[in-house]
Amino acid sequence: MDQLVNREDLIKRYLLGEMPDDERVPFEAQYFSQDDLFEELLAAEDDLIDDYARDELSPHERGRFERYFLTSPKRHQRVEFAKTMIGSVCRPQESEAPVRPPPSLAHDSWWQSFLSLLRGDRKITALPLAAALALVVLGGAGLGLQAWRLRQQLGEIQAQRLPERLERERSERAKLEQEVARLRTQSASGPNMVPQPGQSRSDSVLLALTTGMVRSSEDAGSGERNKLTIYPGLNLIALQLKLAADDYQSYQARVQTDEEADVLIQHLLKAEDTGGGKAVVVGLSARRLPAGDYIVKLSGIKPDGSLADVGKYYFKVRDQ
Amino acid sequence: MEPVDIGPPPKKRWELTPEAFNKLLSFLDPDRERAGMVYEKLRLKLMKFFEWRGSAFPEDHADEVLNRVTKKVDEGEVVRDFYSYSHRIASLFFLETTKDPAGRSVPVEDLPSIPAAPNSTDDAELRLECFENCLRALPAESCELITQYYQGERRARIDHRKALAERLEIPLNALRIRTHRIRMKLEACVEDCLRKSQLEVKQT
Repeated sequence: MDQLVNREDLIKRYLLGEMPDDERVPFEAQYFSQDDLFEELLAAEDDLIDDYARDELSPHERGRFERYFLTSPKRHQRVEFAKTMIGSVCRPQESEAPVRPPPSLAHDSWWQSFLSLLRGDRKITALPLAAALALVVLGGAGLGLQAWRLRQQLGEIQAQRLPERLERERSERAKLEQEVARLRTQSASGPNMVPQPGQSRSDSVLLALTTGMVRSSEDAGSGERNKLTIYPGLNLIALQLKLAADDYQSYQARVQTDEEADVLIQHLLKAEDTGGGKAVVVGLSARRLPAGDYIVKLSGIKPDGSLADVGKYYFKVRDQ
Repeated sequence: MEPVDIGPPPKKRWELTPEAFNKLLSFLDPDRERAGMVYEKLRLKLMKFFEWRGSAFPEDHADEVLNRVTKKVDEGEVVRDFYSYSHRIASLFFLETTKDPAGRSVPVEDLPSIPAAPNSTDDAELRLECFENCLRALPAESCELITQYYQGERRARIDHRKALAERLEIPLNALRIRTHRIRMKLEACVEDCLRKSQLEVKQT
Protein backbone atom coordinates (compact mmCIF):
# COMPACT_ATOMS: atom_id res chain seq x y z
CA MET A 1 0.00 0.00 0.00
CA ASP A 2 2.84 2.36 1.00
CA GLN A 3 4.58 1.45 -2.23
CA LEU A 4 1.48 2.38 -4.19
CA VAL A 5 1.20 5.74 -2.42
CA ASN A 6 4.89 6.42 -3.06
CA ARG A 7 4.48 5.59 -6.70
CA GLU A 8 1.48 7.87 -7.05
CA ASP A 9 3.37 10.61 -5.27
CA LEU A 10 6.35 10.10 -7.57
CA ILE A 11 4.15 10.36 -10.66
CA LYS A 12 2.41 13.46 -9.35
CA ARG A 13 5.74 15.15 -8.63
CA TYR A 14 6.87 14.34 -12.15
CA LEU A 15 3.73 15.73 -13.75
CA LEU A 16 3.95 18.91 -11.69
CA GLY A 17 7.62 19.38 -12.65
CA GLU A 18 8.87 18.87 -9.12
CA MET A 19 11.21 15.96 -9.74
CA PRO A 20 14.94 16.75 -9.65
CA ASP A 21 16.97 15.92 -12.78
CA ASP A 22 18.79 12.99 -11.22
CA GLU A 23 15.45 11.28 -10.56
CA ARG A 24 13.68 12.51 -13.64
CA VAL A 25 15.99 11.13 -16.33
CA PRO A 26 15.91 7.49 -15.11
CA PHE A 27 12.17 7.81 -14.52
CA GLU A 28 11.66 8.93 -18.10
CA ALA A 29 13.86 6.13 -19.41
CA GLN A 30 11.64 3.76 -17.46
CA TYR A 31 8.38 4.93 -19.02
CA PHE A 32 9.92 4.91 -22.48
CA SER A 33 10.63 1.20 -22.10
CA GLN A 34 7.61 0.23 -19.99
CA ASP A 35 4.22 0.72 -21.58
CA ASP A 36 2.43 0.00 -18.31
CA LEU A 37 4.15 2.85 -16.52
CA PHE A 38 3.50 5.19 -19.43
CA GLU A 39 -0.20 4.37 -19.39
CA GLU A 40 -0.24 4.87 -15.65
CA LEU A 41 1.21 8.31 -16.18
CA LEU A 42 -1.47 9.15 -18.72
CA ALA A 43 -4.17 8.00 -16.30
CA ALA A 44 -2.54 9.95 -13.46
CA GLU A 45 -2.58 13.03 -15.67
CA ASP A 46 -6.35 12.58 -16.06
CA ASP A 47 -6.70 12.32 -12.28
CA LEU A 48 -4.65 15.45 -11.76
CA ILE A 49 -6.81 17.39 -14.20
CA ASP A 50 -9.96 16.07 -12.52
CA ASP A 51 -8.69 16.99 -9.06
CA TYR A 52 -7.99 20.50 -10.29
CA ALA A 53 -11.41 20.75 -11.91
CA ARG A 54 -13.05 19.52 -8.68
CA ASP A 55 -10.90 21.88 -6.61
CA GLU A 56 -9.44 18.95 -4.71
CA LEU A 57 -5.76 19.87 -5.01
CA SER A 58 -3.83 21.35 -2.11
CA PRO A 59 -3.03 25.08 -2.47
CA HIS A 60 0.59 24.22 -3.30
CA GLU A 61 -0.42 21.67 -5.94
CA ARG A 62 -2.99 24.04 -7.37
CA GLY A 63 -0.43 26.81 -7.75
CA ARG A 64 2.02 24.40 -9.30
CA PHE A 65 -0.65 23.03 -11.64
CA GLU A 66 -1.54 26.52 -12.85
CA ARG A 67 2.07 27.56 -13.35
CA TYR A 68 3.59 24.39 -14.72
CA PHE A 69 0.73 22.46 -16.23
CA LEU A 70 -1.80 24.95 -17.53
CA THR A 71 0.57 26.45 -20.04
CA SER A 72 -1.09 25.65 -23.32
CA PRO A 73 -4.56 26.12 -24.82
CA LYS A 74 -4.76 22.36 -25.29
CA ARG A 75 -4.41 21.78 -21.58
CA HIS A 76 -7.01 24.42 -20.85
CA GLN A 77 -9.34 22.48 -23.14
CA ARG A 78 -8.64 19.32 -21.16
CA VAL A 79 -9.64 21.08 -17.96
CA GLU A 80 -12.83 22.30 -19.63
CA PHE A 81 -13.54 18.75 -20.74
CA ALA A 82 -13.04 17.47 -17.18
CA LYS A 83 -15.41 20.10 -15.82
CA THR A 84 -18.04 19.13 -18.35
CA MET A 85 -17.65 15.46 -17.61
CA ILE A 86 -17.76 15.99 -13.86
CA GLY A 87 -20.87 18.12 -14.23
CA SER A 88 -22.56 15.57 -16.45
CA VAL A 89 -21.49 12.11 -15.38
CA CYS A 90 -20.12 12.53 -11.92
CA ARG A 91 -23.12 13.78 -10.07
CA PRO A 92 -23.47 11.80 -6.86
CA GLN A 93 -26.03 9.10 -7.08
CA GLU A 94 -29.27 9.58 -5.21
CA SER A 95 -28.32 6.88 -2.75
CA GLU A 96 -24.93 5.45 -2.05
CA ALA A 97 -25.98 2.02 -3.21
CA PRO A 98 -23.14 -0.43 -3.78
CA VAL A 99 -21.70 -0.04 -7.23
CA ARG A 100 -22.93 -2.42 -9.88
CA PRO A 101 -20.74 -3.15 -12.85
CA PRO A 102 -22.12 -2.80 -16.34
CA PRO A 103 -24.08 -5.96 -17.01
CA SER A 104 -22.03 -6.92 -20.00
CA LEU A 105 -18.80 -6.45 -18.07
CA ALA A 106 -19.84 -8.37 -15.01
CA HIS A 107 -18.71 -11.92 -14.65
CA ASP A 108 -21.87 -13.02 -12.86
CA SER A 109 -24.83 -13.21 -15.19
CA TRP A 110 -28.30 -12.29 -13.90
CA TRP A 111 -29.29 -15.89 -13.54
CA GLN A 112 -26.16 -16.66 -11.52
CA SER A 113 -27.09 -13.83 -9.16
CA PHE A 114 -30.62 -15.17 -9.11
CA LEU A 115 -29.40 -18.65 -8.17
CA SER A 116 -27.09 -17.27 -5.53
CA LEU A 117 -30.07 -15.54 -3.97
CA LEU A 118 -31.92 -18.84 -3.94
CA ARG A 119 -28.92 -20.38 -2.24
CA GLY A 120 -29.07 -17.76 0.49
CA ASP A 121 -30.04 -18.57 4.06
CA ARG A 122 -33.28 -16.63 4.10
CA LYS A 123 -35.83 -18.39 6.22
CA ILE A 124 -38.47 -18.70 3.53
CA THR A 125 -38.98 -21.48 1.09
CA ALA A 126 -37.16 -21.23 -2.19
CA LEU A 127 -40.13 -21.82 -4.49
CA PRO A 128 -42.37 -18.84 -3.61
CA LEU A 129 -39.27 -16.67 -3.50
CA ALA A 130 -38.26 -17.93 -6.92
CA ALA A 131 -41.73 -17.15 -8.23
CA ALA A 132 -41.65 -13.69 -6.68
CA LEU A 133 -38.18 -13.05 -8.02
CA ALA A 134 -39.17 -14.29 -11.44
CA LEU A 135 -41.95 -11.70 -11.45
CA VAL A 136 -39.52 -9.05 -10.33
CA VAL A 137 -37.04 -10.08 -13.00
CA LEU A 138 -39.69 -10.08 -15.71
CA GLY A 139 -41.15 -6.81 -14.47
CA GLY A 140 -37.66 -5.37 -14.18
CA ALA A 141 -36.83 -6.48 -17.69
CA GLY A 142 -39.97 -4.74 -18.92
CA LEU A 143 -39.07 -1.60 -17.02
CA GLY A 144 -35.48 -1.83 -18.21
CA LEU A 145 -36.67 -2.09 -21.79
CA GLN A 146 -38.95 0.87 -21.30
CA ALA A 147 -36.14 2.87 -19.71
CA TRP A 148 -33.87 1.94 -22.58
CA ARG A 149 -36.51 3.08 -25.11
CA LEU A 150 -36.99 6.33 -23.23
CA ARG A 151 -33.24 6.89 -23.21
CA GLN A 152 -33.13 6.27 -26.94
CA GLN A 153 -35.98 8.73 -27.47
CA LEU A 154 -34.28 11.28 -25.26
CA GLY A 155 -31.09 10.82 -27.25
CA GLU A 156 -32.98 11.37 -30.48
CA ILE A 157 -34.69 14.48 -29.14
CA GLN A 158 -31.40 15.89 -27.91
CA ALA A 159 -29.75 15.07 -31.21
CA GLN A 160 -32.55 16.96 -32.97
CA ARG A 161 -32.13 19.88 -30.55
CA LEU A 162 -28.45 20.33 -31.40
CA PRO A 163 -29.00 21.77 -34.91
CA GLU A 164 -31.72 24.03 -33.48
CA ARG A 165 -29.36 25.29 -30.81
CA LEU A 166 -26.63 25.81 -33.37
CA GLU A 167 -29.05 27.72 -35.53
CA ARG A 168 -30.08 29.89 -32.58
CA GLU A 169 -26.41 30.46 -31.66
CA ARG A 170 -25.59 31.36 -35.23
CA SER A 171 -28.32 33.94 -35.45
CA GLU A 172 -27.42 35.38 -32.05
CA ARG A 173 -23.77 35.63 -32.97
CA ALA A 174 -24.58 37.14 -36.33
CA LYS A 175 -26.75 39.71 -34.59
CA LEU A 176 -24.00 40.49 -32.10
CA GLU A 177 -21.44 40.84 -34.87
CA GLN A 178 -23.72 43.15 -36.84
CA GLU A 179 -24.27 45.28 -33.78
CA VAL A 180 -20.57 45.47 -32.99
CA ALA A 181 -19.87 46.41 -36.62
CA ARG A 182 -22.54 49.11 -36.51
CA LEU A 183 -21.15 50.49 -33.27
CA ARG A 184 -17.67 50.56 -34.71
CA THR A 185 -18.81 52.75 -37.56
CA GLN A 186 -20.54 55.18 -35.23
CA SER A 187 -18.57 57.89 -33.63
CA ALA A 188 -17.75 57.15 -30.03
CA SER A 189 -20.90 57.69 -28.13
CA GLY A 190 -19.36 60.12 -25.68
CA PRO A 191 -18.83 60.02 -22.01
CA ASN A 192 -22.29 59.09 -20.88
CA MET A 193 -24.01 56.30 -22.70
CA VAL A 194 -27.48 57.13 -21.44
CA PRO A 195 -29.68 58.48 -24.23
CA GLN A 196 -31.03 61.91 -23.57
CA PRO A 197 -34.78 62.40 -23.12
CA GLY A 198 -36.52 62.24 -26.43
CA GLN A 199 -33.58 60.50 -28.01
CA SER A 200 -34.31 56.97 -29.22
CA ARG A 201 -32.74 54.29 -27.13
CA SER A 202 -30.41 51.95 -28.90
CA ASP A 203 -30.30 48.36 -27.76
CA SER A 204 -26.52 48.49 -27.88
CA VAL A 205 -23.74 50.80 -26.78
CA LEU A 206 -20.03 51.08 -27.29
CA LEU A 207 -17.82 52.07 -24.39
CA ALA A 208 -14.31 53.13 -25.33
CA LEU A 209 -11.76 52.41 -22.61
CA THR A 210 -8.14 53.33 -22.33
CA THR A 211 -5.62 51.36 -20.36
CA GLY A 212 -4.43 53.10 -17.25
CA MET A 213 -7.76 54.87 -16.93
CA VAL A 214 -8.21 54.35 -13.22
CA ARG A 215 -11.37 53.64 -11.29
CA SER A 216 -13.70 56.58 -11.44
CA SER A 217 -13.56 57.29 -7.73
CA GLU A 218 -9.81 57.74 -8.01
CA ASP A 219 -9.75 59.96 -11.04
CA ALA A 220 -12.08 62.88 -11.41
CA GLY A 221 -11.03 63.38 -15.04
CA SER A 222 -12.01 59.97 -16.24
CA GLY A 223 -14.81 59.50 -13.76
CA GLU A 224 -17.65 60.00 -16.21
CA ARG A 225 -15.94 58.53 -19.19
CA ASN A 226 -15.80 54.97 -17.87
CA LYS A 227 -19.33 54.86 -16.53
CA LEU A 228 -21.99 52.82 -18.23
CA THR A 229 -25.66 53.11 -17.46
CA ILE A 230 -27.83 50.13 -18.14
CA TYR A 231 -31.27 51.19 -19.26
CA PRO A 232 -34.27 49.03 -20.13
CA GLY A 233 -33.93 47.58 -23.60
CA LEU A 234 -30.14 47.69 -23.63
CA ASN A 235 -28.92 44.30 -24.85
CA LEU A 236 -25.41 44.55 -26.13
CA ILE A 237 -22.36 46.29 -24.78
CA ALA A 238 -19.23 46.56 -26.85
CA LEU A 239 -16.12 47.40 -24.86
CA GLN A 240 -13.51 49.00 -27.07
CA LEU A 241 -10.13 48.45 -25.41
CA LYS A 242 -7.65 50.89 -26.90
CA LEU A 243 -4.12 49.61 -27.41
CA ALA A 244 -0.92 51.59 -27.03
CA ALA A 245 0.76 49.10 -29.39
CA ASP A 246 -0.47 46.08 -31.28
CA ASP A 247 2.27 43.61 -30.38
CA TYR A 248 0.39 40.33 -30.53
CA GLN A 249 -1.43 38.35 -33.16
CA SER A 250 -4.29 37.69 -30.79
CA TYR A 251 -5.51 38.68 -27.37
CA GLN A 252 -7.46 37.37 -24.43
CA ALA A 253 -9.83 39.65 -22.56
CA ARG A 254 -11.01 38.77 -19.10
CA VAL A 255 -13.90 40.77 -17.63
CA GLN A 256 -14.06 40.56 -13.85
CA THR A 257 -15.96 42.17 -11.04
CA ASP A 258 -13.94 44.27 -8.61
CA GLU A 259 -13.83 41.16 -6.42
CA GLU A 260 -12.08 39.37 -9.29
CA ALA A 261 -14.98 37.03 -10.04
CA ASP A 262 -14.96 36.16 -13.73
CA VAL A 263 -17.81 37.50 -15.82
CA LEU A 264 -16.50 36.58 -19.23
CA ILE A 265 -13.33 35.46 -20.93
CA GLN A 266 -12.87 35.83 -24.65
CA HIS A 267 -9.94 34.27 -26.46
CA LEU A 268 -8.30 34.84 -29.81
CA LEU A 269 -9.47 38.42 -30.20
CA LYS A 270 -7.84 40.44 -32.95
CA ALA A 271 -6.83 44.08 -32.78
CA GLU A 272 -8.71 46.32 -35.20
CA ASP A 273 -8.19 49.75 -36.65
CA THR A 274 -10.57 52.22 -35.09
CA GLY A 275 -9.44 55.29 -36.93
CA GLY A 276 -7.88 56.65 -33.76
CA GLY A 277 -5.49 53.73 -33.37
CA LYS A 278 -5.77 50.03 -32.71
CA ALA A 279 -8.26 48.50 -30.30
CA VAL A 280 -9.66 45.16 -29.27
CA VAL A 281 -13.44 44.97 -29.12
CA VAL A 282 -15.21 42.71 -26.65
CA GLY A 283 -18.95 42.22 -27.07
CA LEU A 284 -21.06 41.08 -24.16
CA SER A 285 -24.64 40.90 -23.18
CA ALA A 286 -25.90 43.66 -20.83
CA ARG A 287 -27.55 41.07 -18.60
CA ARG A 288 -24.10 39.87 -17.59
CA LEU A 289 -23.28 43.20 -16.01
CA PRO A 290 -25.25 44.07 -12.90
CA ALA A 291 -24.43 47.41 -11.28
CA GLY A 292 -20.92 47.49 -9.87
CA ASP A 293 -17.25 48.08 -10.64
CA TYR A 294 -15.53 46.01 -13.29
CA ILE A 295 -12.08 45.43 -14.59
CA VAL A 296 -11.03 44.09 -17.98
CA LYS A 297 -7.64 42.42 -18.03
CA LEU A 298 -6.25 42.28 -21.53
CA SER A 299 -3.44 39.84 -22.30
CA GLY A 300 -1.51 39.17 -25.48
CA ILE A 301 -1.30 35.52 -26.53
CA LYS A 302 2.30 34.55 -27.26
CA PRO A 303 3.12 31.97 -29.97
CA ASP A 304 3.60 29.30 -27.30
CA GLY A 305 0.11 29.96 -25.94
CA SER A 306 1.25 31.69 -22.76
CA LEU A 307 -0.15 35.09 -21.84
CA ALA A 308 1.51 38.47 -21.46
CA ASP A 309 -0.17 41.35 -19.63
CA VAL A 310 -1.17 44.18 -21.93
CA GLY A 311 -3.27 46.37 -19.69
CA LYS A 312 -6.15 46.79 -17.30
CA TYR A 313 -9.29 48.74 -18.10
CA TYR A 314 -11.75 49.83 -15.46
CA PHE A 315 -15.39 50.73 -15.79
CA LYS A 316 -18.43 51.16 -13.62
CA VAL A 317 -21.96 50.00 -14.36
CA ARG A 318 -24.99 51.59 -12.82
CA ASP A 319 -28.67 50.97 -13.33
CA GLN A 320 -30.84 53.78 -14.54
CA MET B 1 31.93 42.02 -61.37
CA GLU B 2 33.84 41.31 -58.19
CA PRO B 3 32.99 37.92 -56.65
CA VAL B 4 31.27 38.27 -53.33
CA ASP B 5 32.35 36.02 -50.49
CA ILE B 6 29.23 34.58 -49.05
CA GLY B 7 31.02 32.16 -46.71
CA PRO B 8 30.82 28.36 -46.68
CA PRO B 9 27.67 26.80 -48.08
CA PRO B 10 25.17 25.99 -45.37
CA LYS B 11 25.25 22.38 -44.17
CA LYS B 12 22.54 20.47 -45.95
CA ARG B 13 19.79 19.45 -43.58
CA TRP B 14 18.81 15.79 -43.69
CA GLU B 15 15.33 15.26 -44.95
CA LEU B 16 13.05 12.34 -44.38
CA THR B 17 12.63 10.22 -47.49
CA PRO B 18 10.05 7.47 -48.12
CA GLU B 19 12.91 4.96 -48.36
CA ALA B 20 14.33 5.96 -44.98
CA PHE B 21 10.87 5.83 -43.42
CA ASN B 22 10.21 2.37 -44.85
CA LYS B 23 13.56 1.22 -43.54
CA LEU B 24 12.60 2.43 -40.07
CA LEU B 25 9.26 0.63 -40.20
CA SER B 26 10.93 -2.60 -41.30
CA PHE B 27 13.37 -2.19 -38.44
CA LEU B 28 10.52 -1.75 -35.95
CA ASP B 29 8.60 -4.83 -37.05
CA PRO B 30 8.52 -6.96 -40.19
CA ASP B 31 4.73 -6.65 -40.12
CA ARG B 32 3.90 -3.20 -41.43
CA GLU B 33 0.74 -2.76 -39.40
CA ARG B 34 2.46 -3.65 -36.15
CA ALA B 35 5.39 -1.43 -37.10
CA GLY B 36 2.96 1.43 -37.59
CA MET B 37 1.56 0.85 -34.11
CA VAL B 38 5.03 0.86 -32.55
CA TYR B 39 5.81 4.08 -34.40
CA GLU B 40 2.61 5.77 -33.19
CA LYS B 41 3.25 4.62 -29.63
CA LEU B 42 6.75 6.06 -29.70
CA ARG B 43 5.48 9.31 -31.16
CA LEU B 44 2.95 9.63 -28.35
CA LYS B 45 5.64 8.95 -25.75
CA LEU B 46 7.86 11.57 -27.29
CA MET B 47 5.07 14.13 -27.43
CA LYS B 48 4.20 13.58 -23.81
CA PHE B 49 7.90 13.64 -22.88
CA PHE B 50 8.23 17.14 -24.33
CA GLU B 51 4.87 18.25 -23.00
CA TRP B 52 5.70 17.09 -19.47
CA ARG B 53 9.03 18.86 -19.68
CA GLY B 54 7.20 22.09 -20.50
CA SER B 55 8.15 22.42 -24.18
CA ALA B 56 6.21 24.92 -26.19
CA PHE B 57 5.97 22.69 -29.29
CA PRO B 58 5.78 19.05 -28.20
CA GLU B 59 4.47 17.70 -31.50
CA ASP B 60 7.13 19.40 -33.59
CA HIS B 61 9.83 18.27 -31.23
CA ALA B 62 8.56 14.69 -31.26
CA ASP B 63 8.66 14.70 -35.07
CA GLU B 64 12.19 16.10 -35.08
CA VAL B 65 13.37 13.31 -32.76
CA LEU B 66 11.69 10.72 -34.97
CA ASN B 67 13.48 12.21 -37.97
CA ARG B 68 16.79 11.94 -36.16
CA VAL B 69 16.15 8.34 -35.15
CA THR B 70 15.10 7.50 -38.71
CA LYS B 71 18.28 9.10 -40.01
CA LYS B 72 20.44 7.02 -37.67
CA VAL B 73 18.68 3.81 -38.70
CA ASP B 74 19.00 4.80 -42.37
CA GLU B 75 22.72 5.35 -41.89
CA GLY B 76 23.02 1.83 -40.53
CA GLU B 77 23.55 2.59 -36.87
CA VAL B 78 23.00 -0.44 -34.67
CA VAL B 79 20.10 0.28 -32.32
CA ARG B 80 19.53 -2.41 -29.72
CA ASP B 81 16.82 -0.89 -27.56
CA PHE B 82 14.74 1.36 -29.73
CA TYR B 83 12.82 3.09 -26.90
CA SER B 84 15.88 3.79 -24.74
CA TYR B 85 17.73 5.05 -27.77
CA SER B 86 14.86 7.38 -28.68
CA HIS B 87 14.75 8.64 -25.10
CA ARG B 88 18.46 9.52 -25.26
CA ILE B 89 18.01 11.38 -28.54
CA ALA B 90 14.97 13.19 -27.10
CA SER B 91 16.91 14.24 -23.98
CA LEU B 92 19.75 15.61 -26.08
CA PHE B 93 17.34 17.42 -28.36
CA PHE B 94 15.57 18.89 -25.37
CA LEU B 95 18.90 20.35 -24.20
CA GLU B 96 19.33 21.87 -27.66
CA THR B 97 15.92 23.49 -27.50
CA THR B 98 16.67 25.02 -24.11
CA LYS B 99 19.72 26.72 -25.65
CA ASP B 100 17.69 27.98 -28.60
CA PRO B 101 15.67 31.02 -27.47
CA ALA B 102 12.86 30.18 -29.89
CA GLY B 103 12.22 26.79 -28.33
CA ARG B 104 13.21 27.55 -24.78
CA SER B 105 10.77 26.61 -22.11
CA VAL B 106 10.08 29.20 -19.45
CA PRO B 107 11.11 28.47 -15.85
CA VAL B 108 8.07 27.65 -13.77
CA GLU B 109 8.66 30.54 -11.42
CA ASP B 110 8.48 32.98 -14.34
CA LEU B 111 5.21 31.66 -15.63
CA PRO B 112 2.05 33.59 -14.88
CA SER B 113 -0.55 31.88 -12.79
CA ILE B 114 -3.42 31.11 -15.14
CA PRO B 115 -6.46 29.56 -13.55
CA ALA B 116 -8.51 27.53 -15.98
CA ALA B 117 -10.57 29.94 -17.97
CA PRO B 118 -14.27 29.37 -17.48
CA ASN B 119 -16.06 29.33 -20.78
CA SER B 120 -19.05 31.44 -21.52
CA THR B 121 -22.39 29.86 -20.70
CA ASP B 122 -23.09 29.22 -24.39
CA ASP B 123 -19.75 27.47 -24.90
CA ALA B 124 -20.33 25.38 -21.81
CA GLU B 125 -23.78 24.37 -23.03
CA LEU B 126 -22.48 23.44 -26.43
CA ARG B 127 -19.63 21.46 -24.87
CA LEU B 128 -22.11 19.64 -22.67
CA GLU B 129 -24.29 18.74 -25.64
CA CYS B 130 -21.27 17.50 -27.55
CA PHE B 131 -20.19 15.50 -24.52
CA GLU B 132 -23.57 13.87 -24.07
CA ASN B 133 -23.81 12.98 -27.75
CA CYS B 134 -20.30 11.53 -27.72
CA LEU B 135 -21.05 9.57 -24.57
CA ARG B 136 -24.12 8.08 -26.22
CA ALA B 137 -22.09 7.18 -29.29
CA LEU B 138 -19.73 5.02 -27.22
CA PRO B 139 -20.33 1.29 -27.06
CA ALA B 140 -22.73 0.57 -24.19
CA GLU B 141 -20.01 -1.13 -22.11
CA SER B 142 -17.66 1.82 -22.36
CA CYS B 143 -20.44 4.27 -21.61
CA GLU B 144 -21.45 2.37 -18.49
CA LEU B 145 -17.88 1.95 -17.35
CA ILE B 146 -17.00 5.61 -17.64
CA THR B 147 -20.25 6.69 -16.02
CA GLN B 148 -19.66 4.45 -13.05
CA TYR B 149 -15.98 5.22 -12.76
CA TYR B 150 -16.58 8.92 -12.31
CA GLN B 151 -19.58 8.65 -10.00
CA GLY B 152 -19.61 10.17 -6.54
CA GLU B 153 -17.62 12.53 -4.40
CA ARG B 154 -14.16 11.96 -2.91
CA ARG B 155 -14.33 8.99 -0.51
CA ALA B 156 -17.43 7.52 -2.16
CA ARG B 157 -15.72 7.77 -5.52
CA ILE B 158 -12.67 5.86 -4.28
CA ASP B 159 -14.87 3.15 -2.78
CA HIS B 160 -16.89 3.00 -5.99
CA ARG B 161 -13.78 2.40 -8.02
CA LYS B 162 -12.47 -0.28 -5.71
CA ALA B 163 -15.80 -2.07 -5.82
CA LEU B 164 -15.96 -1.76 -9.59
CA ALA B 165 -12.42 -3.17 -10.00
CA GLU B 166 -13.30 -6.07 -7.69
CA ARG B 167 -16.44 -6.86 -9.64
CA LEU B 168 -14.55 -6.80 -12.89
CA GLU B 169 -11.79 -8.85 -11.30
CA ILE B 170 -9.08 -6.53 -12.47
CA PRO B 171 -6.57 -4.47 -10.45
CA LEU B 172 -7.52 -0.88 -9.75
CA ASN B 173 -4.70 0.35 -11.92
CA ALA B 174 -5.91 -1.68 -14.88
CA LEU B 175 -9.35 -0.14 -14.39
CA ARG B 176 -7.79 3.34 -14.39
CA ILE B 177 -5.97 2.65 -17.63
CA ARG B 178 -9.03 1.10 -19.25
CA THR B 179 -11.04 4.18 -18.33
CA HIS B 180 -8.29 6.48 -19.56
CA ARG B 181 -8.46 4.90 -23.02
CA ILE B 182 -12.20 5.45 -23.21
CA ARG B 183 -11.79 8.99 -21.94
CA MET B 184 -9.25 9.76 -24.68
CA LYS B 185 -11.78 8.72 -27.31
CA LEU B 186 -14.43 10.79 -25.63
CA GLU B 187 -12.20 13.86 -25.44
CA ALA B 188 -11.26 13.53 -29.11
CA CYS B 189 -14.94 13.18 -30.04
CA VAL B 190 -15.93 16.28 -28.03
CA GLU B 191 -13.14 18.41 -29.52
CA ASP B 192 -14.13 17.26 -32.99
CA CYS B 193 -17.78 18.10 -32.30
CA LEU B 194 -16.84 21.57 -31.00
CA ARG B 195 -14.60 22.24 -33.99
CA LYS B 196 -17.36 21.29 -36.40
CA SER B 197 -19.89 23.45 -34.55
CA GLN B 198 -17.55 26.43 -34.62
CA LEU B 199 -16.89 25.89 -38.32
CA GLU B 200 -20.60 25.81 -39.01
CA VAL B 201 -21.10 29.03 -37.09
CA LYS B 202 -18.27 30.72 -39.02
CA GLN B 203 -19.62 29.60 -42.38
CA THR B 204 -23.00 31.18 -41.79
